[in-house]
Amino acid sequence: MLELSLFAGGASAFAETAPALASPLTAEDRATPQQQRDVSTPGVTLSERPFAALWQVKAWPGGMAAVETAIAASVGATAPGPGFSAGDPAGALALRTAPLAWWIVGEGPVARPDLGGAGTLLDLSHARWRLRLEGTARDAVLSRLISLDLRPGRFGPGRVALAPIQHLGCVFHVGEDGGAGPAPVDIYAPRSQARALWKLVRDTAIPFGCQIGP
Amino acid sequence: MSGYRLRDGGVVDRSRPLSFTWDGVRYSGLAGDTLGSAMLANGLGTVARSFKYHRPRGIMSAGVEEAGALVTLGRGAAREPNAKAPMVELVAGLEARGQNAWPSVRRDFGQINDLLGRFFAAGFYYKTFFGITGRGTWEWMQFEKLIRRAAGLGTAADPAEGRNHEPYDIAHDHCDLAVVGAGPAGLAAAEAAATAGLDVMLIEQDFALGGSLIGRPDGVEGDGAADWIAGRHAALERAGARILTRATAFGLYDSNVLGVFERAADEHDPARDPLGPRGTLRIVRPARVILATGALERPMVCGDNDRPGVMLAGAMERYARRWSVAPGSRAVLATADDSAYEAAIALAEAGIETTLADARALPTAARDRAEGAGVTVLQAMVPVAVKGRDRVRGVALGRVPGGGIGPGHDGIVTTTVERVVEADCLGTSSGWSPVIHLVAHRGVRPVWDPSRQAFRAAADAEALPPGLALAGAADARATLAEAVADGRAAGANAAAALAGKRRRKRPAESAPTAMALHEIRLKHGKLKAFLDPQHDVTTEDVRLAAREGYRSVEHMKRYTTLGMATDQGKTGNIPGLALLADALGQSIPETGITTFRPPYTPVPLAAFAGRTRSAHWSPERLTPMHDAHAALGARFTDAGVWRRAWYYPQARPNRAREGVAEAYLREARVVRETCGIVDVSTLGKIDIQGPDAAEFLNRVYVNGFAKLPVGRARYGVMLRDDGIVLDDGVSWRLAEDRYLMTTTTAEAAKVMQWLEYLLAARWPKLRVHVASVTDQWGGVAVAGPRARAAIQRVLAVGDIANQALPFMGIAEGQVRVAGGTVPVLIGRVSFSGELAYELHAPAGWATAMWTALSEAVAAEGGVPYGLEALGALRIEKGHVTAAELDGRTTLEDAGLGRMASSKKPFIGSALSQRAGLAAEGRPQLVHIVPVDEGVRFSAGAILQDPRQRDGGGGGHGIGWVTGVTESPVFGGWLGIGFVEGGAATWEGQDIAVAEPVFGRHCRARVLSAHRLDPKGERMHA
Repeated sequence: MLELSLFAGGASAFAETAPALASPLTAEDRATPQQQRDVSTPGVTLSERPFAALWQVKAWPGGMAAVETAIAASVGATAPGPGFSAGDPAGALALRTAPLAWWIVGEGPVARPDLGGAGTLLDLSHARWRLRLEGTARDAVLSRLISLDLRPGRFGPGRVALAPIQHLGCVFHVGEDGGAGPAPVDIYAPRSQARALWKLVRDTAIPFGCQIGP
Repeated sequence: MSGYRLRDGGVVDRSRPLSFTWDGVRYSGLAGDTLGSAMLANGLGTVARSFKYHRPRGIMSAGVEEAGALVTLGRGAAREPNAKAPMVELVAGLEARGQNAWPSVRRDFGQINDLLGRFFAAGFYYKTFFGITGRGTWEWMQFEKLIRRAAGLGTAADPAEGRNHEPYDIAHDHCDLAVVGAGPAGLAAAEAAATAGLDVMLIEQDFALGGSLIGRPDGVEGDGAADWIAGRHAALERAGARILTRATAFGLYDSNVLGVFERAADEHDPARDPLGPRGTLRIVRPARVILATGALERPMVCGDNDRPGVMLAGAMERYARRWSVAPGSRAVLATADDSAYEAAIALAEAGIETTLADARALPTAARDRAEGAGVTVLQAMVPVAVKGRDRVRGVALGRVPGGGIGPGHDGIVTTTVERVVEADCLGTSSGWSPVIHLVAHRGVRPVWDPSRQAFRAAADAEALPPGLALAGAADARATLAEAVADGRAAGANAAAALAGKRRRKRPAESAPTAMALHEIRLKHGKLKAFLDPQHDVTTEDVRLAAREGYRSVEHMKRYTTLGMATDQGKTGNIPGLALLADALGQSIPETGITTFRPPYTPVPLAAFAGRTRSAHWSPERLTPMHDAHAALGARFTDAGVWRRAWYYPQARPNRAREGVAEAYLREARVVRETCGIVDVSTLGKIDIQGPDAAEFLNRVYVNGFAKLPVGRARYGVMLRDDGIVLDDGVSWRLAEDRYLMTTTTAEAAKVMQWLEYLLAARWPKLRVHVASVTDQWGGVAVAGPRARAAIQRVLAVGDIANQALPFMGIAEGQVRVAGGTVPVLIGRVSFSGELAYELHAPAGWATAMWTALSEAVAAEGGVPYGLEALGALRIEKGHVTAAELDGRTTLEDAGLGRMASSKKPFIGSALSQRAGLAAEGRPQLVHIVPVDEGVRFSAGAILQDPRQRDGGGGGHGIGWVTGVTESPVFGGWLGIGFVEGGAATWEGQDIAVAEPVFGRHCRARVLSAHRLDPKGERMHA
C-alpha cells in the first residue's frame, strides 16, 4: 500500500536531527510573577513539562483487546480503564482519554505501537503542551479553573480526566503521590493556546503564592 | 440616634481599635465590629437617604435584611455602592460614605421629594408613561432625564475613574453535604454529619460562626454560648469539614447546586493585595443540602417607622450583646409575642431605660423576667407613631381596642394616641419569617402556617426536592433547644441517607401560638408608614394598588416595587401581603406569596465574570511562529481567537514607517514579482483515518475523493444539508486509508463538529476516526514565481521540481534549519494564483522552518506577507473565503457549480436543486471596479441596477461587495462580490454602488472574477 511514510514513526523519530523543541512560552512568561506573598513558601509551583512523544490510540469497536495488548506492550503495564493511567512516568504512560481512546505519552521517543488494524494511531506530540501544577494549594487553584471533583477519592494519583478551562479542552493527569502535599497534576492543553492558559493559571495561582519551576 | 459603646461585654476586641472614615470624618471602631455596629457606637444617626423621598434613614437591622443603611465603600474605580452597613466587616482604614444625597446624607436637598410625596406614589412611572393628557409617552420623554438622574441608589464607578483591575475568582466545590448557615442548627447539623464521616461544607455569611448565639448569655447543651460555638468549630475542624465564612449562599439551583459568594477578608482593606481576588463565586455541587438559614424578624408598621433610631427589636439585642453597643439611652420596644422580651432584657441589663409595649391582652411568664431586669412593661399597648424627624425623640403609644390582641387576630390595629414616651430609639417585633428563599429557588411553593403566622418551605419534608432538608428556625423551630436538636437530626439523617440507612425521626415541634401585628393605624388621620423602606413603599401604596385593580400579589409587587430587587422581601413581605389581603377582604394564604429569586443578597456582576475578562476573556490562539513575526515588527489582527500577522511595516528613510495600506501593497506586489512567505498555521487541519475514510469524504464533499491517488491533494467544497456551501479546503491523501483535510480558519471548529456529528449520528457504521491536528502543525505558504527556488535553497530532503511535484501534488521532505533539519509535509497548492507551496512542520519546530524559509525567500528578493496582502492576492485571483461563503451562497453562486459530482450523492446534493437555489439570475461571484479614477467603496456596499428606479431587488439592490483591495496586478481599486446574474449578465456593464450608511455612491464596472491567469499557467509553472 502506497503511503507517505516520513511521519509514520511520529515526529519524535526526528528528535536527534531536529533542533530543540521550541517552547510556546517566552522568558517573560516564565519569570516569577510579582506578588505580595513571600514565595519562599509557595502554595503552588507551575512548570512547563515538555515531552517527546504523544500517540493517540483509538480502537475500532471490537478491536479493544488487540489495542489493549499493543498499549500494554508500549507502556509495560496493563492498558488502563476509563479515567485511569498506567505505565512508567519516567518512560511511557498510557492515559485513558475516552471509552475507546488512549494517549501514550513518552518522555523520550516511543516506537509506533502496532495495532494490527484494530484501531488508528495519530501523532499529537506537537499538538499538545504540558504544564505541571503542584503544591499545597494545588486544589485551590485547580478548583478555580475546572469543575472536577478534586477530592482524593475521586481524583487521586493516577487519575485522568478531561475538562475545559474556559472552553479550552484539556486533559488532566494526577501524578504519583509526592509525599507532603497533594500529588502533582499535569495539564495537557492545545499548543496554540499554551501561553493564554499559562497566564490564566499563573494569575489564578498568584494569590496562593506562585513559584515558577524549572 | 444616640448610640454609644457600652463599657463592657460583647464579642469585640477592645485592645484592637480600628479607624475608619464616614463621609470623610475619621471614627474608631473595634476588631469584631461591623461598619453598622461601629457607626452606631459612634452615635451616627442619619447614614442614608431613602430611594424616592430622600427621607433620613439610620441603621434598621443587624444583618442582610438591612433596608436603611445602604452606603458606598471605597473610592475610585474600586468603589462599591449599596453595601449594607451591618454586613460590612470593619477593617482598618475602611472608607464609607453616604449616597443618594446632595450635598450629604445629613443635609440633603433631595428631601424636598418628601413634601411632594403624594405625586410619587405607587404607579408614578406607569402613569407618566400613559401620559397625563393622553398624548402617549410625551410626558415621559420630557421628564425622563430628570427622573433617571434622581432615581436609583448609589452610583457605580465611572469609566473616567479608571478600571478596577482587582479580580474575582470562580471556584468549584464538591462535598457530601453542604450546610447553609452556621447558627445553632447549622453548627449542630454540620457536626453531626461530619463526625459521622461525611465531607461537609459549612457556609456562613457572617465573618464569625454562631449566628444568633454570638454574645448570647444562654447555655446550650450545658455549655455557655461561646464555649458551645467553639466546641462545634473545633469538632468540625477535627473532622476535616470545610468552613466558609463571609460566604453567602445566594441561590439554589437544579440538582441542589449552590451558588455561593465568598467575600475576601480584606475586601475593603485599602492596603489589600490588588492581585488577590476581592471575592470568590463558588459553585458548590453537594450530594445533599441542609438549609439552616434561620429566620428574619418582621417589623411592626406604624407612622414614620423609618426614622433613624427605629430598628428591629432583635437587632437591638444583637448590637447590645454581640457588639456591646447601645442603640440609645431610652428605648421603647414593641412586640406581639415573647421574642422581644429578650431584647428588652438585654437593653435593660446594659443600663438602658427600657419600655416594652406588648400588644397582647394577657401577660406571659416573660413579663416577670423583664420586669425583674428593670423593664417597664405596658400590656395591650402599641406604637402608633414615631416622634422626631432626623432621629427618634419619642414614641406615641396607643391602646389596643378590646384590651389587647389574642389568637386569631387579623394583625391590624386601629387606635388613637394615648401617651407619648420619650425615647431615642424604637425596636419592634412582629414575629419571625423562616428564611426560605433558597428552597423557593427550587420552585417549591411555600405554605402558610397559621400557628406561626409565617410561610414555611413546605408542608412536610417529603414535599422538598430530593437531597434537600431544612433545620432550625428556617423550618420554624421556635426555641434554641429545638433548633439544635433539629440540626443534629438533620445532620444525622444526611449521613444515613448517603449510607443508605434508615433515617432518624425529626424531633417534634413545639406548638406555638404566634401572633403578628402587621400595621397600627391612627384612627383619625394618616401617617406615612413604611412596609419596604428600601424602596420607599408605604402601606398606602399597597392599598392604592389594590384599589387600582392590582389584585394579584405578583402584580402588586411590580406596581409598588415591594420586596423587589436586593431586598427580595426579607422584612416587608408578610406585612405587605397582610395589607393586600386586608384590602381585598381575603386571607393571607388566599393572597399568596411573591416569588423569591436569586440572588438572595446582591452579588457583584464582576464576580460572575471571574477572571474571564481582559486578556482572559477568550484564550488567545497564537501560531507557532508568532514571536518570529513579532520580532519582524509585524502588526497583528484578530481572526476569531487567533492573532494573525496582519502586515510587516518597513522603516523608510526620512519617512514614517509604513502603514497598512503601503505595507500590504508592497508585500502583495513582491509576491507577484518574486515571492513571499506567509504563516498559514491557522488553517483548520483534520486527520481522517480508517478503511471508510474515502467513502466518508465522498459523502461529505460535493466532488469525488475516493479515486484521488495517494500523494495528491484536491480542492473540495462541502455543503450543508440545505444545499448552501458550508466550507471549502484542500484535502491531502496521505495513504489509502488516511487524509489530511484543511479547512478555512473561520470554519475549522464548525467543520470538525460537523464531521464528528456525521460519524456519531448518521453513519455510525463507517469506520472512520477524525481528529483535529491544527495544533500539531505549523504551516507556511511560499508563493510567487521564485517560490520553488527559495524553497530549494533550504530543502535538504525532497524534490519539488515541477515533474516530481506537480500542481496539487504532495510530498515529504526535510528543511535545513539552524541546529539540524526539520521534517515537513509539502503540498503544491495556491491561494494567490501564483506558483506556491505549503510546508507544514511539527509545531515545535515550525519557527525554525519559518526562519530558514524566510531567509531563503529574502535571498530570492521576497518578503514575508501578512493577512492583508493574502486578502489582496486572493481577491485578485477570485478565490472565495468565509466572506463569500457566508451561509447564503450556493456552489453556483461561487462559480464552483461544475465541481459537483453527478455520479454520487453527497450532503446537500438533493436540496441544492431546490428551485430557489437553482434559479437563474442568482447572485454570482464577480469583480467590481470603480469607473472613475480615485473612487473607492467598502466591503458591504450594495450593488444596484442603474436601469431600475429603486436599484432593483425591491430596493434592496441586486448584489453586494464582500471584499476590497488596491490591486497590484490590475491597478486601482478592486472589489469582489455578488451580483444577480453574475458576469454572464453584467460583464463590462456599469452598475451603481451605494453605501447609504456613509452617504456614498459611485459607478462601477462588473468584470469576471477569474481574470488573473485564467488558464492557471502561473500556478502550474
